[in-house]
Amino acid sequence: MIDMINIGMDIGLLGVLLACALLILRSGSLLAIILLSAAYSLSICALFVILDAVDVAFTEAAVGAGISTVLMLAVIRRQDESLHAPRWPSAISVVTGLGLGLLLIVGTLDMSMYGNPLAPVHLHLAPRFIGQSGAETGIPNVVTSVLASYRGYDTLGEVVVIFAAGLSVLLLLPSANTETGEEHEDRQRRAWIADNPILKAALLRVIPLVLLFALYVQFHGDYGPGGGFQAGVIFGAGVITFGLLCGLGKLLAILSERWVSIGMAAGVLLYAGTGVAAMWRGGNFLDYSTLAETPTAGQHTGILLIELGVGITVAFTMISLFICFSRGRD
Amino acid sequence: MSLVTASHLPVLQVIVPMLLAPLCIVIGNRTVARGFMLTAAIAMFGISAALMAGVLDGRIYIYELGGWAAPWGIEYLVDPVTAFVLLTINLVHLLAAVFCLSGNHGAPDETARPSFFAAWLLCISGLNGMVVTNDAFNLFVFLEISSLATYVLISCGRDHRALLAAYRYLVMGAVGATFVLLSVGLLYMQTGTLNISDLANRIAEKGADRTIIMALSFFVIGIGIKCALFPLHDWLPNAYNYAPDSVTVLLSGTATKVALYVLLRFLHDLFSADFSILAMPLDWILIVCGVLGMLLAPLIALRESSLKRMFAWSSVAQISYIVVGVGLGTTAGVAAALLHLFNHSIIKAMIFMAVGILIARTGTARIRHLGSVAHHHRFVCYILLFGGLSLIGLPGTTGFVSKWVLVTAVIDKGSWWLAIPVLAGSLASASYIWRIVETMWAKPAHLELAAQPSGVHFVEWFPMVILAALAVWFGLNATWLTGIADLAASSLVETGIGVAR
Amino acid sequence: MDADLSHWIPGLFNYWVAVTLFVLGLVIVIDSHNMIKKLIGLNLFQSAVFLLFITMGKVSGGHPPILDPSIEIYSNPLPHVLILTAIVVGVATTALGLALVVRIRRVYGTVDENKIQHNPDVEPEIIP
Repeated sequence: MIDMINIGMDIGLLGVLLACALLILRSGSLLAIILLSAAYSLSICALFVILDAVDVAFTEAAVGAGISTVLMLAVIRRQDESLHAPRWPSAISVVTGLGLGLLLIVGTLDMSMYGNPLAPVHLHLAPRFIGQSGAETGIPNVVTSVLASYRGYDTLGEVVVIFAAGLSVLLLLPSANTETGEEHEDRQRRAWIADNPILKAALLRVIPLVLLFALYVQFHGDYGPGGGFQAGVIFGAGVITFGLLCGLGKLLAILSERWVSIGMAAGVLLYAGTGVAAMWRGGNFLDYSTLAETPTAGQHTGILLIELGVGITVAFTMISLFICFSRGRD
Repeated sequence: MSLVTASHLPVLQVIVPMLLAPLCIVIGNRTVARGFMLTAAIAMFGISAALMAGVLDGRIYIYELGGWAAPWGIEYLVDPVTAFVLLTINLVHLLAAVFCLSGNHGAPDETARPSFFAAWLLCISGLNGMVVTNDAFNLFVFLEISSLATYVLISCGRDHRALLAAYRYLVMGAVGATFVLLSVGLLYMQTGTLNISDLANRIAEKGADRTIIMALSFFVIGIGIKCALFPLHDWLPNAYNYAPDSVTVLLSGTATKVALYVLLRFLHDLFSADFSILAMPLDWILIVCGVLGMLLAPLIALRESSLKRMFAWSSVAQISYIVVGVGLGTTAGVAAALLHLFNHSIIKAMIFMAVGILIARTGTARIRHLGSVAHHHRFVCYILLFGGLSLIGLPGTTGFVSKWVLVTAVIDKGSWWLAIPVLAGSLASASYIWRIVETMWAKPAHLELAAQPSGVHFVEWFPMVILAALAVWFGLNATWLTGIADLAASSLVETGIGVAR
Repeated sequence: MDADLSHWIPGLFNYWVAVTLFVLGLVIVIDSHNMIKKLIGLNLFQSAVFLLFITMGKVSGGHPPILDPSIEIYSNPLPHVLILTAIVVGVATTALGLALVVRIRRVYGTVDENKIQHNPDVEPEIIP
């Protein structure tokens, strides 16, 4: 019964996804496209929950519907450039798209059916992760233990990718020393939030709660959905809200750009440093079992540290992205 | 062959630059950042040399990251092919890093420097990670690390069009990376594993079904974009042309080579190059792409107005030779591919260094403005000439050695007619090399071009001369290098990684 | 696998929708002249692959992979881990792409690829 409802919702949400994608393809307004892609993200999020991927859904909500949309809006904020009237897709895209699509459809024909518990994908690695990760790492959330320990090196890579993105944006959009006319205009435009005393007071009081929630997500990731990445995004969002309300200048007065970039680097260093510490104590890189007396305690310590590293880098990168994109000179 | 699991060398190869990159940012000092880059480059070269020495002693290095045994954890694997490619890219990287330190060819903006060096370190860290990893998903992650760093390094170019080049490469590169991700997903779906050795064993047991064949196709397209396989090379000429000179040296010497290595590795590990079990003639697809590239790219190069972009097109052509070697699938073919990979790395790095110096001295990259430039900048122009001859494959140069091995491999496989496009491609290269030689030595000097002193900084000419010396050495004494390439190729083709375990 | 269409349709429906989204995303990437729309197409394209991964991890009657003594069947956690990483990598690429777009707009005054290519007035000068 529950399965039938799930399949029904699955099909419905897939329909929404297709509709969003088609509308994005045909739409001529950038603003509409960005909002549609946020809607697309939220729908795929719901779909991930139905497919039991709660951690992924959490991340997609924070990233796809949250950060990506905010960044896109920040980039277009001054001009909703309308695109050329939507046309039919060009010949080259139809040929490429259909060709690759057909190849993929052929590729699906040998796949296992949806939900089949005997599919090869469930038989080799997954049983150990589900059956033994609890004993081996002492953490009930299997996604967290695989992410942070068994495949912790991938996650280090992921943090480095985020760091690389933050670094690149800093390199591409370096600070402007003087406030330009447009920045001034930007402040004026934003004034309606900052000058509305009720809204400002209410939002300012929400910020501590947001930051608190981020800490909860950070440290509860072992037991439920969440972890360093999601926490970092939420923490970053809290600080960004402050920046929106009080202006970039005030944010930079509290948290200078130099410190933000040090924060980005510090998370990576904490993560990789944990790995090096494990080498120092005689294990392999990122072998947390060496970090404490018993392997399980070591795993626990290691995972705590590296999740903190993820959180720090992600939070500061989000803040840095906000700073770089909102001090436009264009 | 003995397995070594206790050595930390494989992981140090990757994490040394990865740790120094954030430290550059924390310290935030330009001089320190430069020092870090040089330290990392020397350390990485040392590590790769040590790994090579170990491999030549008959060792194979396996490193279990996080202490989890594969396939549950991620593992690093260094065998002869890996060691060969590691040594190549870290050698070129060391010299490119020294070249970058000259200041004329690095980041344009004084303030941006520590982050520029950090991005550089991340790029080379990602590339090394792609080479040593034995895990398909980990490959994707490190591919993305190196790609992101590459995009931003390209965008640092002096000309604003560098931004457009970086953006186009970003879009193409992201599509390629998504193809790789999709392919990893399909392989995982059908086998339940991500470890490449384990994948190889499971595919050998089960045979390739349609999903696996599609996974392979998408992998070839995705990596083909990264290594500028002929019809997918669109991003390369502009990216090389507008990137800062030192970045062009780095990319031409390492990035495309790593992608080619990954292509080679995947095809041979997963399918033991036995393409017959696939329902499609993948070997011939690669060979046809390669032949088209080696014939058409030089013709486009001939019509280029910019010196740097002309050599970028020449890179597309030279990559095609390597692709043909990969497509042959025989031991000799793989050995030819590896040899040409090495030779082209050092030759093209040397050429782009010379081009960079020439552009910095004359202030122009337009070929028609370079008339008689050889009379003012003799040294650099002779280096360029030597590089050009090596690209053509004149006897006595390294280019000759690898092309000779390739032609032999082609004839061994019984496809003697394939030697015709290989030779025709060399002739086509000769035409564009002749064009610049004629301009630089014989054409009248361009009026606007002020005669400047031809002094070249030590850090500029030193790496270039080392590369030239290596090219001469390996051109005259090819036995040592071909020996290693043969060893690497036979370890890949004949034993295969699944069997070696 | 039996070649029975009626068997395939419910079993592979998710995959086929993912393939359709994949194609639509690719079409948007290839066809859009607007650089921001192109990046959105790229997101769409990537999310189709994410959907494929997450679908393969689903086990009928399974639960989210958070260990609990009262639950016996869990969905496969590994695809979730991989896609978590891939989503992050995707947003990093988007952020970098947008930063490039902002710089391009500063220099060229437009983010339309066609206008940049065909208008000689926006051809930049080489900065020494």
